Amino acid sequence: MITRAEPVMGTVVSFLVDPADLDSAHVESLLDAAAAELHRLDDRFSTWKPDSELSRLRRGEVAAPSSLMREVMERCEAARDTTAGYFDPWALAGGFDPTGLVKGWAAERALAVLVDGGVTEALVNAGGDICVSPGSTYDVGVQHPSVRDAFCAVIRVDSAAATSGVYERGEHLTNPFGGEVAAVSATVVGGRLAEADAFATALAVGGAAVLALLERIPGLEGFFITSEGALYRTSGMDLGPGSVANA
Amino acid sequence: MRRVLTLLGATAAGFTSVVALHGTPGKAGPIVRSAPTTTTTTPKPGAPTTTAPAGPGQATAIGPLENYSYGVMSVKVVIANHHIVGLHVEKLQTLDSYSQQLASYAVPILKAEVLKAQGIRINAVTGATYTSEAYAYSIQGALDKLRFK
Repeated sequence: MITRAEPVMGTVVSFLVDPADLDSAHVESLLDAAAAELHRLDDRFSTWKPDSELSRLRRGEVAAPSSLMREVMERCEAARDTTAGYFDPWALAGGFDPTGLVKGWAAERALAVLVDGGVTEALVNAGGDICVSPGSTYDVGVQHPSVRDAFCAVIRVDSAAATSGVYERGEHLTNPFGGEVAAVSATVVGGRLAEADAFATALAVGGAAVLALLERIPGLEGFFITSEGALYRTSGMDLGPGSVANA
Repeated sequence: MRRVLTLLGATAAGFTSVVALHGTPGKAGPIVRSAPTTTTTTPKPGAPTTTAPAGPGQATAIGPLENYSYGVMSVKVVIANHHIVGLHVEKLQTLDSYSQQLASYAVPILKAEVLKAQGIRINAVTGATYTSEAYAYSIQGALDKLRFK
């Protein structure tokens, strides 16, 4: 197993690669390329870097957005629609902020660099936004929202998983409809990571309303936890071994 | 996008057929978009509202609240030059009955060492607290140790 932890996009992106019969130097060079892709995307989509295209766009200085920016905007619009508006990058203070989707999207692009280079078994974890190579399965622990050294679920991931919530550093979520944020932690499993990432944000904000939407979407499952410590899940959500919620 | 259309299909069939005629948003040719608005409106039940044109030949309307399986929703449509250029779910309310059907569980507390003793190997960690950078480094470092040493 070859691993790497790359500090980028305000978090740490971890790579797990089973090289199988690939030369390890080749895998390392693929990891270099995947990390470079993440930095390239961070340079474009960071809200913290004043010169990024996104920062310039937010200041109204971009007349013609790049094709990558247009792709992100279109994915954000699609995610806003599928989440019934609970994921809304246009409803945030400071203008368009696609961060809730870009991190997962970037991780998928980094994974694609590895897969295109011949890797068949890999996991990319972008600060909790996780995608795995097609055909691979990994067990992912979901950090318990209030007990530091424990998980609240162990989920089997064969495509993507993302968690969103009210973070340690304070409230990061906004309800586009002006109400309260429903959950302290929300996890969505399945599908494409960019979509799961956006849906995790929506589920944390919208709670039961978004869970009802998830229930209708084949291939996506999820659960959320309220500040009172109650857990709600879609009917197909498996919380893993040892979890009473599976009873 | 197909999923959206499916969802809407359950809410306003006539509406969906109009949208279907105009192809798949996000995939078809040039997409015209108005400047995104950050204001949200709560439409009154049964009362479609129309706002003033946002641009040349452009109009925005919010449909009435419609029932869907789990509650009610209303949809906002933006039309420019006789084409639908924007389609958003404007308001979504979940039926109380759906919320009431939802079973609530106590949050499991699964200790890492217990899982390990059970032979469950965790490959990666996700979590709401995980974006704390120091914590991310710490837990991933611990994980790497557990698995790879």
